[in-house]
Amino acid sequence: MNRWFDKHSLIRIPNGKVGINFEHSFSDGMVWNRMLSDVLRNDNDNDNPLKEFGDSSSSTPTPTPTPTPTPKYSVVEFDTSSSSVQEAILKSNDALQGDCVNCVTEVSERSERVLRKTRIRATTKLKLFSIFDSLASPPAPLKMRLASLGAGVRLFSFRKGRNQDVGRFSGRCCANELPNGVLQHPQ
Amino acid sequence: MAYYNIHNKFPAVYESCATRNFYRGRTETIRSLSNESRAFVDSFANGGVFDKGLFLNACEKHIDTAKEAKQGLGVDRHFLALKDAASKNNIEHEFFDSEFFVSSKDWMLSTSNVSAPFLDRFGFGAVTENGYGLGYLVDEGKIPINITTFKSSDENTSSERMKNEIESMLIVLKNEIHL
Repeated sequence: MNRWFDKHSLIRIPNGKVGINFEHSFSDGMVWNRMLSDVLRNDNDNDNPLKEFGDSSSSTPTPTPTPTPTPKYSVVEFDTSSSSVQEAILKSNDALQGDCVNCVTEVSERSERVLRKTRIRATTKLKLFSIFDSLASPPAPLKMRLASLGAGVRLFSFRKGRNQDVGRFSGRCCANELPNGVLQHPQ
Repeated sequence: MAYYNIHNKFPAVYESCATRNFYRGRTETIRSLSNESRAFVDSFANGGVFDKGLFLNACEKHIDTAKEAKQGLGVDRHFLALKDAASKNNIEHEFFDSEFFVSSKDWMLSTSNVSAPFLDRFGFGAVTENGYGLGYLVDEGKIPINITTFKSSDENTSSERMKNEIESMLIVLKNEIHL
C-alpha cells in the first residue's frame, strides 16, 4: 500500500473524498477530529478564518471550541531520532549557561528541524535543560501505534463533494515494520 | 463477549478516553474488563441465559470507570509516569517487570470511538501481535466498526470471526433489551 505509516498524510481521491492517516504517538484521534471540524466550520461564522472556502450548507457541523489555556512556555519541537541533533545539543551545553534565547537560536542554526520556535523566556531554562537531558539519553524505542481515519469529509475546496470510504488497511498492520522511533506515547 | 466466544479467555481490554480537560492532557485508559463484565460473560457464555441484571451492572460499572478515567482517576497513566520516572533515575522495580503488570497491559482488545457527523470510518491497527484493533463510530442508525488483526498472529485471531461474533451479540442485545 502506498502509504507512509510513520507520518501524517492527507489522502484525497478524485471524487473529492478525503481521509487522514496519522501516526498516533504524535496526537490522538480527537485532535484530528477537531482539526477537520474547524476546516468544515460553517462559513457564516465570522470567526472562521477559512470561511471563504467553507461549505455553506446547513448540514455542515459547527463545533464548539474548547478553551485552551495560555502556555507558560513555548512549544519546542525536535526530532529526537537524529543523532546529529543530539550531538548539536550536547555541544551547545556551554551556550546554555548564557541567555536562553540566544542559545536556543544557536542550537537551531546548527541542527535542522531541532527547535522551530525560539521565543523562550529565560525562566524556562530549567525546562530546557530537562528536555536536553532527555535528548542526551533518549528513551528506548517503543512500538508505535498506528491509526487511520477514513473520513467522509468534504474538503473545503470541494463544494458538494460526494462521500466514499477511503479508510483502508493493508493486509498486515505495520507496527512492527516501522523504523525505530523514539517518540513516547502512552498507549 | 465476542472475544471470549472466539478465544475462550478474558483479555486485557483498552478503551481510549480523552483527557483534554487537562492542560496537555491526552488519554487515559478505560479498562473495560471488570468483575461485573466478567460475571455477565460467565453467565451468558456456553449457551447460558442472558441475565439483564448482570448486563446492566456491567454497563454501570463501565460508565463509572469511564467517568473516573476522564477525571484523571485512571491507573495506567500514573503507572506510566512512575515507570518513566524510575527509568530516568535508573531505578528498577520488580513490579514493572512482573507478569501480572505486563500482561495487564497486553491489550488484546484495543478499542476507540471517534464519532463525528462528517466521518464515515475510523480505525487503527491492533496494538499487539495477537490482539484486535476495534475503531468504531456511533452514528444514527448504524455503528461502523473497523476491525484489524495481524495475519502473523499465532493465536488465530480473525477479523472475520470477530465481526460475526460482534454482529451476533448486537442482535442478542437488540432482542433482549429492545434497543
